Amino acid sequence: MRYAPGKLFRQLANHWLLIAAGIFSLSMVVMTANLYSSQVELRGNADARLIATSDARSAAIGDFIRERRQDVIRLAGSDVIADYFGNRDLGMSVKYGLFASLALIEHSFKEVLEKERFQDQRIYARLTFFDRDGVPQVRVGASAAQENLGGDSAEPNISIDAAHRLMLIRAPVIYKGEVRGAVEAVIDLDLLAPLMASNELWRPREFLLDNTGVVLFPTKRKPSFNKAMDVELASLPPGRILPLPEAAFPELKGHFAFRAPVKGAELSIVRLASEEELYGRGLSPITAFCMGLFSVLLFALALGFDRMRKSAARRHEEKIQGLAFYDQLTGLPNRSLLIERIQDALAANARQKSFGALMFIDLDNFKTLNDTLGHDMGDLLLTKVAARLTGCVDRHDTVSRLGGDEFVVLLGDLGTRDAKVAALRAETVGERILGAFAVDYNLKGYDYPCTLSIGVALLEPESLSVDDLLKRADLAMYDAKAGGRNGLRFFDPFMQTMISAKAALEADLREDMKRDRILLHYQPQVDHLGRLVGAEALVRWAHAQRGMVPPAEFIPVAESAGLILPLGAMVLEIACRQLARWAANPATEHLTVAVNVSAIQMRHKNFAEQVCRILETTGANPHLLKLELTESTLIKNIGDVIAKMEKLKSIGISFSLDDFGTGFSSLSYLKRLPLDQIKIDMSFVQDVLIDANDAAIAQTIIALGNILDLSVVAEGVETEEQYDFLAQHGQLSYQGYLFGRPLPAPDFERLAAAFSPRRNSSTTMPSLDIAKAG
Amino acid sequence: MFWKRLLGRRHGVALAAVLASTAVSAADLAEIKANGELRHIGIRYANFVTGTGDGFDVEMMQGFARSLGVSYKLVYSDFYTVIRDLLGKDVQRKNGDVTLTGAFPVKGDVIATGFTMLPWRESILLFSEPTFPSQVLLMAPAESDLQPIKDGSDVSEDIKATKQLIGSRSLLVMERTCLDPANYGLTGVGVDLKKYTKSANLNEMIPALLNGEAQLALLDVPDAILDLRKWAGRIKVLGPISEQQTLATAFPKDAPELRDAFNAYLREIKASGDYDRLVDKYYPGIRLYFPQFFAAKTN
Repeated sequence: MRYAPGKLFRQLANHWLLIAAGIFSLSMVVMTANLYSSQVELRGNADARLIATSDARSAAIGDFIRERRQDVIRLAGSDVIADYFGNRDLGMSVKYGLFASLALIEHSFKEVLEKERFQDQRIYARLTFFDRDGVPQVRVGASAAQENLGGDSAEPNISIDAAHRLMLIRAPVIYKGEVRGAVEAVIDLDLLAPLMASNELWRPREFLLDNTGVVLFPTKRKPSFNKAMDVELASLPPGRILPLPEAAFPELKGHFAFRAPVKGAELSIVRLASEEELYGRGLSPITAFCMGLFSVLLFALALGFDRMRKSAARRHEEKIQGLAFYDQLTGLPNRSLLIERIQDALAANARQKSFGALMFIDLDNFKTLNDTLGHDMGDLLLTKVAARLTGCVDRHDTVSRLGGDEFVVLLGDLGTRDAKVAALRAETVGERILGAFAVDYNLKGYDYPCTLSIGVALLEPESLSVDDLLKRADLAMYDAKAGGRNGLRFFDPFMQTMISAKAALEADLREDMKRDRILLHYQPQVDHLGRLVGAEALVRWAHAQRGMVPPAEFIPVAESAGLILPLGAMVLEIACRQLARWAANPATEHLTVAVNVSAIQMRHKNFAEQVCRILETTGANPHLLKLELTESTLIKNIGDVIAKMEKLKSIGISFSLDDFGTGFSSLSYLKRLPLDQIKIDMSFVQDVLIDANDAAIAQTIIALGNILDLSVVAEGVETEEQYDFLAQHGQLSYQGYLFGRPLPAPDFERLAAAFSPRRNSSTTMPSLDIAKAG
Repeated sequence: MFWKRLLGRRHGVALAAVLASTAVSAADLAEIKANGELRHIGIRYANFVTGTGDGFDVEMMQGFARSLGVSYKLVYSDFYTVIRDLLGKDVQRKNGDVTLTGAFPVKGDVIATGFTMLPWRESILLFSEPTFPSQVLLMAPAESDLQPIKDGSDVSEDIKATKQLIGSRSLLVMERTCLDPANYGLTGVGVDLKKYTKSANLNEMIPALLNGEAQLALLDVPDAILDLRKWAGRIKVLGPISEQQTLATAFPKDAPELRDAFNAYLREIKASGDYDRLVDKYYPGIRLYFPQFFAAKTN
């Protein structure tokens, strides 16, 4: 493969760190290898020097001894001694014949004594010629050594008289094949001093020892050395440089020893040297080896680092790729990739004349989840949804996230050229998805029911643009939402109009909330004596073009647009401000205001704090504020609701259960909830006179209130008959047209000022629309 | 014979000496100094005069010449003519009488050659103080059936025992030397004397013995020391034939100053140790044989 120079340069540049590290490490390895080999060589040389020096000493002493041995052997074999024995065998007398032989022997001994010198000193202190009986026949020189009377050995021998520092060399005299005597030479060991490095104290740590560990040199010893150490030195294996055992030589830690036996004598030269003396202060080969190893490790690190760098670059690229084409939260393809795949699918469909489908999926009430449980939980739900969606489709289908809670599933090829069959197959997938979402999610211990609204647009062989397809599926999804959520809708062209209208209303609501066009009307509440005791605040939207928009119309819009929480807060704040204002008016100062709280509000984690803050900012008396909950509020997470209720009750706020009897009306809830009041739903009140069941329910609720010590409010009381019926069954409070319609605050104030406990329709004001927020 | 009867034996010798002294002129110290030369008469004998220009006596006389401040000259002679060469007259010995006869050229001033002091020699010569000890031994080839005597405490007994060994065996002798049998009472006692005449060199006695010219031989200790080494294992010493003898340097009777000068020189080299060195050089081991002599001399 041939690289252009520029490309090659770029390749090299990409790996500059590795190359630099490689060059550095290589040079280090070469250097350390050289260093290592140099050190090994140096150490080898040092060892060789030590060995050579010791061997040289040993050889010098050995040579000296060998020469002396030869001298003695020569003397023992000399003619004069042979003549002596010859003459003796001839029977010559000592006086007249052997004298001459003995004289010659003496003369030759004297000659040797005088002539044989070492460093200008006589070598032999004494020479003796013994006959076979060990009787000295000739003796020249003098010595303190005892003459070796022993034996008639046929071999020369050398012995050491350590006490007198003498060496005795003895050679047999063999005449006519028979040992006839011996010649013995005595040598002063001090004669060897010049052959030793030095006789100084301790340095340079060279010893001459006999085999029993008697140190002959140096003569002046370090007192710390004892006999055991000497014996240890004498027993060291010869010819090897060995570290001294620390236990035996504590003062010579780190020292090496070499023992060179002296050939021909039971003597040894032992030299000691510290590591520094032996090898100097240079690096040890092990250190050099470690340095080399370090370089290799360095290179390995550089290699690893380079790979990490490349991996990081690859991951970075992948991340960029991921950011470009994948959703970071869920890991699903994002809009860009989805569009690509839709285009691919469209092209394939066009070729094969087949159908595909695009499913636009939106989570129901996702914004509410985000608002109430926080975005963390929202994100968690999205990831779980992504996983569940992916599990519902085939491998070659695409599940993507467009953003927020919007997902799109692309069924690229439904395997049919028939639109109806394609629709059925897409519906099957849709139903599968909806079925999968029937199971609640567990969000960190919080059971959350998540439903979907799915809009489906078919990918036809002669299809539209990608944008149009997405728009169609989106519209179908909105249709599904409008159809009550948790459902699936195929795209219908009529949807477009409806969706557009809803979108416009949402935009208007958002705008009017900013312009204070959200109003509250107050419907009077009276006690069993007909006294005005409070009002229920009911939300109203004064639309600029459409006039008053009924709550039943704009509350769902607010919910779908995620405006329900700000709307609820706004209502509460207006009510509290009104309450504070009424506190200054004797006619209204005692009145309570009941505000409806939606389930979404109640689930908001900071709801209690929000209420407190509003009370604080408005200055309203919490004892006059009543929050009305619906049964739906209590369905989930009852514990959380109770906690919030008790927190608010602790500051004086009271709670009323609205629409009681219309839902599941769990008596256990009534028992557990810190309620102050229950409200009989107007549906029961309205038919209380004509429907025995409603009457019975109303009676039961009244009785229940009495039993649980809860006040009971009957809603929707419009006629005297209804009032009479209810009044017969207990001391209730009442709310309804019979006592007053919902009124703007100024009108209500006038009503309150003129309110008479008498139940008189003339005292009531004309009511407006009846509706309740949330 | 007339002179012998008239003056007796001793006087006879003295007369002969007088006659001799009148016949030739002697060289005393002054003349030698005047001549500037000391002529040393030596016989090739043992290591006294080796014949190769050195020897115990050669070195000693060279030292003496140096001490006199004169040059040195070695004049070789033999045992037959050595006295004639010193005195210029021939020596005649007959029945114990010594006569000097004839006129011959005087070749030297002093005899120093391991020269034994014998009575007859003393009658015609002046001897210095002893320069060396000696003794005459009886030698036999190693294979001889004769066994050496056992050491005794008395030398005369040893000599007697030794002489008894000779019996009728042939004995190699050299007349007019220290090995002259007449000196030791061996003549006329039935000993088969074999006179060695091929040479006047004592060094040739042992080779002649080994050559079978006789069964036994006389040999002086200095030669014996050398020959026992030279012919080790082939000869053996049977015992002594003589008492200890003394060797000395001989001068003419009319050279007393020269003799005195020599004696002074001898004492000097004994004191300085030069004498001992010469002894050890040329006769190693001789001290062991004559311990008293050398102890006395060196002390």
